[in-house]
Amino acid sequence: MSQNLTQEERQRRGARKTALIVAVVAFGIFLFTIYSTYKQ
Amino acid sequence: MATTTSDVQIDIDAHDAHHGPEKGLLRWVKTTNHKDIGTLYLWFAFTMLLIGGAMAMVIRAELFQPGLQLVEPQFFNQMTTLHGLIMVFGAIMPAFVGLANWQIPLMIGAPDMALPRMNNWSFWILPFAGVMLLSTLFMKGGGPAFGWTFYAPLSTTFAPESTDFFIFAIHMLGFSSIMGAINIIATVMNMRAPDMKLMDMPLFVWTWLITAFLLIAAMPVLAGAVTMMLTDRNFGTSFFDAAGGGDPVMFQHIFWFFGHPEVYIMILPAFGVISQIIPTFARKPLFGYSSMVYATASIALLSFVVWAHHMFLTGMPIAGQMYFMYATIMISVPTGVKVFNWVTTMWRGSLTFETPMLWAIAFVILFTIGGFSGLMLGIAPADIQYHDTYFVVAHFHYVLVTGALFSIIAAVYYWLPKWCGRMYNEKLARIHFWWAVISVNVLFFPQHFLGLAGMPRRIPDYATQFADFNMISSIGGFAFGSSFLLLTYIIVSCIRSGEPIEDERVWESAKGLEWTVATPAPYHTFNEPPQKDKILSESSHVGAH
Amino acid sequence: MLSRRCSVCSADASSNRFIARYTTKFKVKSNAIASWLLISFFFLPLSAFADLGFNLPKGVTPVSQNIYDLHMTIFWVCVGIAVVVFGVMIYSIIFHRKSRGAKASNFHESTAIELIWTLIPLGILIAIAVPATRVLIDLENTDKAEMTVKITGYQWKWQYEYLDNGVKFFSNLSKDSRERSEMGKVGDYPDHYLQDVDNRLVLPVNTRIRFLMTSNDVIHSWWVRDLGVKQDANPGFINDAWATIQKPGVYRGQCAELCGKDHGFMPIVVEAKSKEDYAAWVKEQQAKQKAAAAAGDREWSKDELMVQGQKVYSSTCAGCHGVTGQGIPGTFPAIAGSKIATGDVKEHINIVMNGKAGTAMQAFGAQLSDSDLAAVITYERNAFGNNTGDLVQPATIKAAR
Repeated sequence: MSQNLTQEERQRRGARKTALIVAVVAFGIFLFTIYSTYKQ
Repeated sequence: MATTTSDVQIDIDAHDAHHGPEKGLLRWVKTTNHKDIGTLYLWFAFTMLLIGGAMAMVIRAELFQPGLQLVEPQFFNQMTTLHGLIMVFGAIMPAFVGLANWQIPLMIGAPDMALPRMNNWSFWILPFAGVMLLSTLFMKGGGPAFGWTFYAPLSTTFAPESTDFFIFAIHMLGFSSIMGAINIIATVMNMRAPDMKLMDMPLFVWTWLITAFLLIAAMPVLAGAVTMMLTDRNFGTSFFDAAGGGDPVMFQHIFWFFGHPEVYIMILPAFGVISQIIPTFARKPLFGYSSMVYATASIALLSFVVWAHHMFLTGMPIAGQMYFMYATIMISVPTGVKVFNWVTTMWRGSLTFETPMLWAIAFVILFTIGGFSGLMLGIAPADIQYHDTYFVVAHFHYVLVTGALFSIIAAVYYWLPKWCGRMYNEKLARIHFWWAVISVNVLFFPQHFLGLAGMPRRIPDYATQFADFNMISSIGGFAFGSSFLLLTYIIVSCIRSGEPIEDERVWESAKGLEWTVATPAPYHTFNEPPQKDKILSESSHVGAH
Repeated sequence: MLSRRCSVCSADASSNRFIARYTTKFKVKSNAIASWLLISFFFLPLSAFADLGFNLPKGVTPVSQNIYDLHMTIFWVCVGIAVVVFGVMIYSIIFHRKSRGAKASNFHESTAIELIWTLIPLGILIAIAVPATRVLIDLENTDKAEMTVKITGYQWKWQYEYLDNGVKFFSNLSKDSRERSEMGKVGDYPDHYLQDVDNRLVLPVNTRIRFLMTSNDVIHSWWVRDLGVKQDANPGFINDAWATIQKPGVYRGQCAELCGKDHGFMPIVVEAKSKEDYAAWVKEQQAKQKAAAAAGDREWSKDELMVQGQKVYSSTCAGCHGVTGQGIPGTFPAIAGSKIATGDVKEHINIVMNGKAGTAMQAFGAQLSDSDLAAVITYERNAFGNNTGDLVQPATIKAAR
């Protein structure tokens, strides 16, 4: 049981990292959209 | 339910009820349970579907005959605009997110979504955004009346004051979508049962994973577009105003860079749903699983390089038109592969036609018709005659109503018995199916003729040679609209008093991990991840593993 | 009802006549709706035939005919694919059902088959792309034009400028269409309801004409199906297109890009004449324009101003401010009893000539002649119960410019 818990905890930790990376990418795309239009 | 599922470790048998949902209304406000949130999404989407549908009824009633009978042109434009926005952002997208919330953890053997609290937040933004969007109707000067594509400068310099509220609502809807997508990516990437490989995943999970990446890439672009609109309107910038050195066509490029992936965001999960349903009722593994995955991925990639086929008439250089024409018609190759795979899955199966299968078959046929008109629209020189006519209206309603919406209805009929442990009334469901599928064609098929005969879209009144087909279309519209009253009754009576089912499998030969948990699906599932042999034997796409 | 519809459908080329007759006599009979529905659907499979009015017309320019041919090619390709795919599917639905005792096979992949149904469609697409590219290159080539017309979109009318001979005018929705399209109006529809204008765009046949499109406010799109021309008119930018009209006649279209409230009410009417008739028409227009300019130099009587004013008002102002001057509350102000139309004349002239920034009120000083401005301002100050008794003379406008 406890092994399973660590497994899930490990998964959740990985998931938080994935989420953070994806969120940063999304924000980057947002900024790039405005920046590239401005440069036009 | 302020606890996360990891706190439930003492709950050895998740089928027991002593860690069930909180009582009362607050359960729904505070919930972090993927099934609760899925339910919330689905009811929200259904409510918005009815509101957006009511607006469609206003549109069809005004178009019943030439002349203005019911609403002024300005209000008519508000109806077309809000109908589009509400159906896209309020009905179709949240419905698919709701299905994802319910199904993805069940299908990959995960206890919940990866980020349950964010999941709660991404849902609860929606009702506020929806109310804000609708409230613009009651503001001075009326709501947004510039079409769901809100082209500048009609949406900037020439728009009513309420446009700023519209912008804020779009920001919130986009924020919600991005958070939902982050959650799905993190869940699928990190929370799968440890023994489930990516290529073991059911197709619905695959299509949603790819859709989530589309959302991450597309929604921030929309956010950028409305942000620039906001500063153009209020802070003296001129991104889209030619008088200040900007370019209104640039707005269209940005909008469609979001907008074209957006239409695939609304159809890829539908492909996933259909790929789950057809094998079940054909009693045969899905044909060409890996080609389905690759086709979905290539559609997604292509969707980012074809946006300007919405803009053939904006004065693009000829090289641009050629490139976008070739890239666009290329999309029909992977889309065709999917259709061929579905048909081949049915071929030499042992078919039965329960309601979900009826909807799935209707999807394949009618979506393909929408695909044909899409191919025609993709031919740049022919698009001169089709662009901004009812031909386009017919096209995108075939892919979005008989495509996306039909797949959602199919999914609800398919999975609802699992969710609530009760069977819907099969007889009524069949009546509903035939009622809807006939009326939707009476509604949209004549619109092809209207477009070819020269009727532009987004007009409240029209020349008399368009009268026949408009009247037919309106009659079909009222019939199709009323079919949703029957659907509401079928769903509510199924949940409240449908015949209880005990069978875990529900459908004779359904495969997938979701069919291995008890019926109705318990509040907590897969606290123990499923083992490898179970994952493989439940795989709906691999026959003799 | 039944026999009437059938006789129309079987008479091949009569559909245009039918539409024209139907247009004037259109009335809804509720008890007939059901039979219309039934009969119309019976004829749906015939949609491929242009002469039934279900399809694109061939049009009267090389471009429109090329597009028509292309359209029919893709259409039949789609029909062919549909027959194969749906045929297989329907066969399967009929013969591979469990109730017939069909046993499910277990086959589930084949790289060879996947490859075949990737490559065959690809081949079909290339076969379509070749003629499509040819048509595209042809229609984008606007060189060697014999004359040029500049088209400017306004909310909600078109301005045409013949760059070769200086003829220049606005084209508005016709008066009877405007009146019939008032909210709640009933009764017969005028001929060419919503597809009729006060001033037609007159063009010569067998002449390579270049169109330049631009806009004064929002994005419009100039579309005449029979010419095979649809092109966005973007504010601040100029697009072009071309047409060689091969047959004299009247060709109708309308704005195709949502441009605000009256998007559905800005039609286009092209009248193609023989070269001689066209030349005569140009002379006539030039004379008219001269006369209009001269009209600004004399004193006008109140009756003259009021008659002309009503004409200008119904074509230019009524779209927003309403035929009866009531406007639309919250969106477009009323003229009847308004502070501007009953207050200081100078302020009234100023707002009509220079518009109001940030609103849909345009600067009409650039669009209307001195006498038209004088007439419409006089009209607004004396109609709708405003009764100020003020007269505005063209000379006053001239001075205000």
